[in-house]
Amino acid sequence: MKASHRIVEIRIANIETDFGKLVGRNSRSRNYGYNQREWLAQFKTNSGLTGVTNARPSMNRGTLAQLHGVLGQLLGRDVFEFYRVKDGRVTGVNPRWEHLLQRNGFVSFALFDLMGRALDLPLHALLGPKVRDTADAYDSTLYFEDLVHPEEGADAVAREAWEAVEKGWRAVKIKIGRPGRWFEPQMGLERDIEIVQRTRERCGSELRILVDANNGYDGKMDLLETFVREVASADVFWMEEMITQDLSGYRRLRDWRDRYSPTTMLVDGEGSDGRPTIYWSLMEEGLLDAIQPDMLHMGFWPFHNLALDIAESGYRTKIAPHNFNAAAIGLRGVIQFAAVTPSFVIAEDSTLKFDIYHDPDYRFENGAYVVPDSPGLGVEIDQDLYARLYGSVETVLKT
Amino acid sequence: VVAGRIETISVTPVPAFYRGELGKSSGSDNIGKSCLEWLVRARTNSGVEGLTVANAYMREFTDFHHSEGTVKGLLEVLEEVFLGRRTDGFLEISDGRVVAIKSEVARAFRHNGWMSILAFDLLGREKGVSCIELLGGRQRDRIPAYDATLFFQEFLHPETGPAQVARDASESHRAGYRQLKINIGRGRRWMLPADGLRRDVEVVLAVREALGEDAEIMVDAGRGYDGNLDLLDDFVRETLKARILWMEDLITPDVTGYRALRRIQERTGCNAWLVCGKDDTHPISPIFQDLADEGLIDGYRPDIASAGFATWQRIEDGLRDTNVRSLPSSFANGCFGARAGVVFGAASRRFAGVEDERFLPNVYKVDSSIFDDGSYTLPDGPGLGLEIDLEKYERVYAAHEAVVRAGDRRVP
Repeated sequence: MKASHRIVEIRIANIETDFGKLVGRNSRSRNYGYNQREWLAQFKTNSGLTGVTNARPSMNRGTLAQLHGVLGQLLGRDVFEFYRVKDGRVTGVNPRWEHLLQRNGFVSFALFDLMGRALDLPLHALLGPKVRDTADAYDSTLYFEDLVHPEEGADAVAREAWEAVEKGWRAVKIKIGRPGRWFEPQMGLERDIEIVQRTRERCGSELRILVDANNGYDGKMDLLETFVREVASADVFWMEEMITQDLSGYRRLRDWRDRYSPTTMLVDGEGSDGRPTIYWSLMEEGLLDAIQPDMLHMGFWPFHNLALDIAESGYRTKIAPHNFNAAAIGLRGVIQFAAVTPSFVIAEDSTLKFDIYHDPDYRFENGAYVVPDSPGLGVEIDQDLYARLYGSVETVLKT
Repeated sequence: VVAGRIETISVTPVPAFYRGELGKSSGSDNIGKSCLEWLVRARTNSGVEGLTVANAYMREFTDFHHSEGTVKGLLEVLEEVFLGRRTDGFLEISDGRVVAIKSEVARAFRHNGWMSILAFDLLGREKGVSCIELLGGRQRDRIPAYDATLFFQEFLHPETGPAQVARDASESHRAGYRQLKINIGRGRRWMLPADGLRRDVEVVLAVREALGEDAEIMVDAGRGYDGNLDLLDDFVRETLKARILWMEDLITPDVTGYRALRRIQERTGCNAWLVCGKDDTHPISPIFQDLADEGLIDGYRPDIASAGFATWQRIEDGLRDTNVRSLPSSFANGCFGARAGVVFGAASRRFAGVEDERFLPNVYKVDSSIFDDGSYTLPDGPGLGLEIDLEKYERVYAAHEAVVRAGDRRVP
């Protein structure tokens, strides 16, 4: 008889850490901050298993009471009730839970974690055969550091890029788009260019430099062409959200990319699940080299199916999941997803460490994480430390 | 004497740092460790320079297709309203006091209240008088200030727990603050409502115990008790012994709701002031006027740097027949915000305290307005009495300065 793994308890706590530096603003928003946090949710079963997720996508938009409302529905349910599983592989989602899981993709992290542990399989094995042993990662904490440390100017970013290299990253993503809001447009363009060039000079030719404008060149196509042209010598790996997704704008951007910097990827789509028509139109015309829905928001199963659908469409668009919001758990999920996704490009790494997470199998070597084969997500909670720090502030849902 | 004409305006982002990471409030995730002061400097052909901050404007951002909230848009509105005008072209004066905004700029100043602070500063410096005089003259020699940096600090320091707020309050008291505002309303978002109530009460009582009798305590719920008046009743009852001076934004402003708050006060014997209005962007909005006229609030709080001096003058006229106190808020306005509050408070009869976010010094020179034992002394220079540390400005901030000149827009 199949063992029962009913969810009998969910423990939720705000887990705090910090970047060790002040992460500045992007082209549209205020400083990202010094501290960061995850809303750790531990799902415990009657069989003694613990699965984890970060409920921050829910807490970013709602309240703890609303989160309780969502997670409370899972209590008493068997962990194999939510998905169809055959021969150790997830093959579909139970329609009973499809809506909840679609709206709360982060829940899938804990459910896949639990299923993997129950079956003694790594999480990635639930999705498909392993296609890689490591997943490249980029440091995504290089914001408008020049506005945090104005006396350093562009060097503030180049310095932090070098510090990332010294810590082992072989790719960094630099926030640009200064013409959009925080700078006078021409000054912002010049600073964007200067930062990319200084970073290349300081960090050498091996570093992969990614840039992300958060749409900060919207309405400034003349400046955008100048940017693409002027940073061509820096061999930028990808350009992300240079403008809001739009066919005519992306055609012009693609033309400039082809003319000045033909190896640079154009990527977009972090604010979407990849299903809206505009993304398929961009893919159809070859205007989108990688698409970036957020891993925690979307969850494993929809993301896996998006990757399969794109592959079957014949479009050459790759997959580069967005993953920020202090997503240490999200990053582990991206690495698991990467293990089974041939078109995966690189993982977004907010570089945060949380003392209570123990995940030694995710070794970080030469800019890439080893994909662990330990059961489930492969993240253990230091329960003693958790009890000491968060025991008095957690909330607990029980059957 | 012919007043000077404004020739040059610059906009410079100046980082302002809190003393540490500030945690959550009832509605927002961590406030963080810093903000930017959008420093505006306007210089005349007579050698006068006036200052303001355009933080309110920079918060108006919607998207990249609109100019509001962008440096480009800010330069454009400053150019349109200020460049080429004389320093006496903005404000009507009678008996040495500003009595109105001149019609040519009235619309712009109503929408961008922070502009009026620049106009006051320019006029005061040109005439060699303090803005305090322009606002009606000195009403007091020291301006009480309260520490407004006590957020949900226990989330940042789980090992200390709720005692962290009391610990921070004690530090503030040692630094000279005699009034401290504690953020409450944990049940709105970050905790379950009943848990949040218990924590709010625990924190307030712990702070009172830590401070003893020698301090005033205020609370700000950020509307965190909306829909939970029963819990609010408990909060008021259980914190009576903490003798809270004022209770801010307990619920969303609404006459029915505030009548209910008054009933809770009557039932419990609570005589704390009820205050609200910091997010009133068009003061005095009808709802707040109704609350004031009906005696349902005791303090009103539009932001000093957003509303500006001229609007606050108008607010005080509107509150003339009420007992409502002037309590301008100042959120994320950097060091400038505290100075604006001190200057306005010095000239206001109904003023009750400066909101002080205790920013570390940045671009301004140290001057005669010093904080000590719960209050600020007054600045003694003309205008706002605030001077830029030019050596530091050039060394640290000038590279991010964007400039417009009369008739010749220039970008470095």
